[in-house]
Amino acid sequence: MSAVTANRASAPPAERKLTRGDLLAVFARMHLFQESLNFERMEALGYAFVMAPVIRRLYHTKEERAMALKRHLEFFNTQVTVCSVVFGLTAAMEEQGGNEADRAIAGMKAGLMGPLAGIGDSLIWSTWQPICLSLGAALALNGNFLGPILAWVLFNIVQVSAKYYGVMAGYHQGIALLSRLKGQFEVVTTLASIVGLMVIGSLVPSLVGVTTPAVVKVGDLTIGIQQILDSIMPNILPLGFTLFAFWLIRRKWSPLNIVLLLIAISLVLTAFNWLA
Amino acid sequence: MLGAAIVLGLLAVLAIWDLWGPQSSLFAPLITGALTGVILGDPATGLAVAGTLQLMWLGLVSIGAAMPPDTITGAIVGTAFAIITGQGVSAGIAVGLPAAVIGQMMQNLSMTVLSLWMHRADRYAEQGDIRAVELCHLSGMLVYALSRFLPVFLAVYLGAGPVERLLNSIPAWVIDGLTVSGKVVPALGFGLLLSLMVNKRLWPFFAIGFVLASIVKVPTLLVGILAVAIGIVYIQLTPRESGSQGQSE
Repeated sequence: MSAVTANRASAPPAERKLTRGDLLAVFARMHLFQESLNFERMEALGYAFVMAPVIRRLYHTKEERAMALKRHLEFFNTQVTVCSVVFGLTAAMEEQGGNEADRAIAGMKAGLMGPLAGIGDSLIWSTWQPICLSLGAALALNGNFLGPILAWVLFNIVQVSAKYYGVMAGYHQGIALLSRLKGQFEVVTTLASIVGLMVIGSLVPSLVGVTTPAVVKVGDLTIGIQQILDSIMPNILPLGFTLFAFWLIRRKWSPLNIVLLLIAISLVLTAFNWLA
Repeated sequence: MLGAAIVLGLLAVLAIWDLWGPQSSLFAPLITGALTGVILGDPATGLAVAGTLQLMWLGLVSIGAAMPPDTITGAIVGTAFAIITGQGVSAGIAVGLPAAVIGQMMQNLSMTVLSLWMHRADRYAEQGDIRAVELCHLSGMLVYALSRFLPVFLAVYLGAGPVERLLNSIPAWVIDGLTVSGKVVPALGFGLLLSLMVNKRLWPFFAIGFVLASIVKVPTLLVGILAVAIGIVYIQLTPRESGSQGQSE
């Protein structure tokens, strides 16, 4: 091992080329990316870990490797799935520019992590995962064990292939890819939002399944409030609670506070027999 | 209970490694809860609690740098107590949320401890020692493993008696209220999704989905297919605003 390293150190720079295996190693290591997540520099150590196969291949002296490692130990934080593109791009820049591209690589990473985090969070964590999990939960509540399994499989088909494609496309098409995707992202986001909104709308009646057992007495006549509500519009309570939560979110309430408020409302209204 | 506590603790370790690793969603309450049910030999209750907690906590995902309550600890401990105490979903909700808050504290503690790791990694990087930097990163898995094994193990091993007594002392109206809250709180998850996806032009799609399911009762999967179809038509019919292809569109 050390003999090979010594030989490589004196090799001409024309040999500096990543193999497909190196890129696959980056893809594989992405699956342990955040295992050292910390407050000081978030994903920085993980970034160095994922790029290690690339650094091994391209840099051979202690000084070169030190410089490459240090630039990836700078603060970094973004959403993991979309970060695959940044890994691919970084690999391409490491190969093409090497340590002379030190600031360019650092700048590219710092510039992309913010916008990509927004895209990744909204596509993966706020759209695709909750859709899969709500579908699975609906099945689970019917006692169907396929629920968790289906949710897991559906989610990962998209998630894993996005990571693989991201690394490969990021490396092979680099900057061109990002400028081309800029137009496409909007279309993908719109389509994802439409599907998400319709599916959520259709899940509200069954998954926010509250009704009211309250009754009004008019003389001898007893009328169920639920019956009245249903004649106005079925599922008005589930819709009402959903829009109420939406309104609180728009007013910058934190999710935890909303959970606590909704639990408090449930406790009080159930105690008065107004909700069931 | 010792054996179950150890196995559930290990399930929590797998889940936290998944959350900070492959992110396959093994960490989601739906899946950790269902597996807890299988481990404790009551898959039916496991599924019911898992489904309920999943919907209640749909909104508690980590976005950006802030750490939400830890749904791994919450779902495993909550489901375990729902089964062990025999009180089902309401016990799962009652125990799950405080357990999730303890898990959140463990997460914050881990991220503080792991900040110290960075300075060791800096030293190894200075020496160009790739292997040492890699090991430094991987050793974070030990910290995260402990951070979830300990609370889950201790809660299940020590807590069964006291927690059961506590749950038994809870009045009936609280238990009923918690069961109802399992139907109300999913509204938050949907509200959060709405707030992220909706803009003035897209509101109608939410309305279409709601009406389809509440009046015509179309199965969700068909709603999904219909949504893709409508979405594609919508995109084709929408003129691009200052599109990337210049003024020609």
